[in-house]
Amino acid sequence: MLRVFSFGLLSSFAILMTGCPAQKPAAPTGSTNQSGTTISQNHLAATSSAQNSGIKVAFVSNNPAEFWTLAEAGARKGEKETGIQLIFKRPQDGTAATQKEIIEDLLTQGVKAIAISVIDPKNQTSFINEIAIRVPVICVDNDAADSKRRCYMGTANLQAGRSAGKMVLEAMPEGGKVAIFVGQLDPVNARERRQGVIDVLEGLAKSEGLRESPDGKKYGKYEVIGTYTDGVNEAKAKDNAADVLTRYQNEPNLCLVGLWAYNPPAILGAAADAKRLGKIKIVGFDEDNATLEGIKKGDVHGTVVQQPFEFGYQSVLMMTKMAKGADVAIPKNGIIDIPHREIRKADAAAFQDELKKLQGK
Amino acid sequence: MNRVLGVFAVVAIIYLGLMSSDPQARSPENHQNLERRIGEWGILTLGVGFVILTGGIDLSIGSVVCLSAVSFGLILENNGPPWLAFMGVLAMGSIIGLIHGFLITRLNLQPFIVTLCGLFIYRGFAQLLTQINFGTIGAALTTGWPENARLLRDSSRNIGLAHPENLAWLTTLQKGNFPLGEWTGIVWLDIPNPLILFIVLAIAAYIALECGAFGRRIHALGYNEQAARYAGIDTASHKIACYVICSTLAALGGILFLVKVPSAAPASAGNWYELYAITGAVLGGFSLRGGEGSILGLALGTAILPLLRSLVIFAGIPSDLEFMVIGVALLLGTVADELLRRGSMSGVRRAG
Repeated sequence: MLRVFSFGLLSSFAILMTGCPAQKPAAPTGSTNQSGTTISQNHLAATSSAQNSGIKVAFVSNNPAEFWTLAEAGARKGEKETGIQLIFKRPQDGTAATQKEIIEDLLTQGVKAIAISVIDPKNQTSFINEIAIRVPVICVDNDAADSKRRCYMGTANLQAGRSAGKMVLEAMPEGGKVAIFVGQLDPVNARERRQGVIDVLEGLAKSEGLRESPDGKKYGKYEVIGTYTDGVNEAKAKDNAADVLTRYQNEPNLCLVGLWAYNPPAILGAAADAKRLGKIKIVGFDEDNATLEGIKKGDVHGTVVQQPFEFGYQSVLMMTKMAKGADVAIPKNGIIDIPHREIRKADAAAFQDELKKLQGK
Repeated sequence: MNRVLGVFAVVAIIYLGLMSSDPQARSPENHQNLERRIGEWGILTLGVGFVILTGGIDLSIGSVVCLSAVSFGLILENNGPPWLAFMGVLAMGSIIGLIHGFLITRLNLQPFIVTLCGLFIYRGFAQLLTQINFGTIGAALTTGWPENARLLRDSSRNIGLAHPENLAWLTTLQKGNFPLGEWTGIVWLDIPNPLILFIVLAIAAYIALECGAFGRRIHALGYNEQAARYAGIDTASHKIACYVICSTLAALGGILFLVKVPSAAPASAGNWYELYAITGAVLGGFSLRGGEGSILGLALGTAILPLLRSLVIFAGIPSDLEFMVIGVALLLGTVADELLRRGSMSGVRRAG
């Protein structure tokens, strides 16, 4: 009797294993804001769906963060328009080892082009070159600039930093002290964002790249009192902000700038605990809900957001062309800039609605 | 034999599921990828198998993998000779095992807590190692302390594989194939070297555990340590030997990890590996109470996780459901295995 039961269990197990359908999230219904993109849709015009059916392309993120939910929604829109088959994967533990195994399996499955958000640019370059021999590779969001990838698609972080710098000027036109908060200063995006902020504070009309710009120095009317890293630890990020608020409690003109998605909410939390909301200025990055709520209330002056939906959408259109061996126009420097946007009090509510639509909520 | 029947059935079903999920899953390339991964996991699983046989556990495997990968990478980065790096890291693994064994047998500490502390310590140590400016130390030793030099960087960093051109033999061991297919003209017979390495180690383990006094003593002390001690077995040194084997194999796994990826983030590389290894051994019939388990079962148990992870991709299961699918599959497999075993045992009783 037991034996019969256990064989039954085994076979139901088999059905579970083989019968699991490829689930796809519902395609987003809302229209997206296309106004800011440098690549017009005609440029990457998708060909008819029938031609592309059966061709597979893949998108592999660097971790399972919610940021990629928006990218997947955009990629699914591209999939629907082109009729190509998209496989979207997120390494659940965010390690290069898991990412590598996923990519190996996707290549075996016969994907014809692949978009990757690189986890460790320096050390993964050789692996990316191995892939690039077999299929076209594009780096999205995180670049391996020295690899044989066809191009990089993402935010121009120096420019995004300038936007944040502009917001500091607006929030604190009389000058004052500026503190910068970020997870780590190793990643290029962190250093470029910081540089962009400082260049604007100093009054440079144009940013030319990274340069020596130490903490504790005056840039124009603004003193950058410090750049505080937290090792990607949200609790530490909040402690950092709280310590700065304590140390500069009598400073009338203080602006706290959070460069990574969780930094502005951490600053907000610390400011609320210290009862300094409204007395200090906050400028942030990305679209954490707490940040957007803070903007609506006036506690945060503004945030600079990337367009992950566009990352997904544009990369699928591009991969569709590459998969068929068609010519793809790529700028000489190999970088395709997906413009960032500035969200202030007037835009926050509409932007939140837009996000909800994109996420299919 | 009955004991491996259940795990064999589970492996067969997942394998058939994978094969029917996508035509490309049936390709030689996919089989080679799977075989390579099974070999890599197998080396770790084999090590923990020894420890589980004694009734112990090793939760530090993932951190030892990480520390070994990081140490190996750092030695090469500072122009250390590869053979020295290789032997040094294996020796480090052995010493870690020795410390575990000593704390567990001489101080009578629980294996769980000793190796859990190891899990934290080795990972933290790996993070610390990546922060050290070895150049500063070198300069300090030769020309005195350099001005404004700092011993530690601000944050830990990812470690890669420097000078891979000096590592031909290791690269072959990790990425190459045993060219049986080339000789015979049958592409299916090209077996990835990590699997060959695992098979060699597994045969050695089989001989050690099943064909001689050492294995009998390990089984005996796993079943009943007190009785084994009364029977005159030096249980402490046998246990220590098992922890040394486990950590040394984990160190070997760490070296192969770095050659494979080649990127080790000290905060995350090797996370969860101890649990994957323990799962493989337990699915293969090893009892966490000790004294029980076969190498053949362990080899089959090792195959389950790589097969499942591959299935998740080939069957197009969304990434967010990955953990759930793997967990449910493992649970169903374990239940089915247990019931099959009971069924076959009651069959034996009835027949008897």
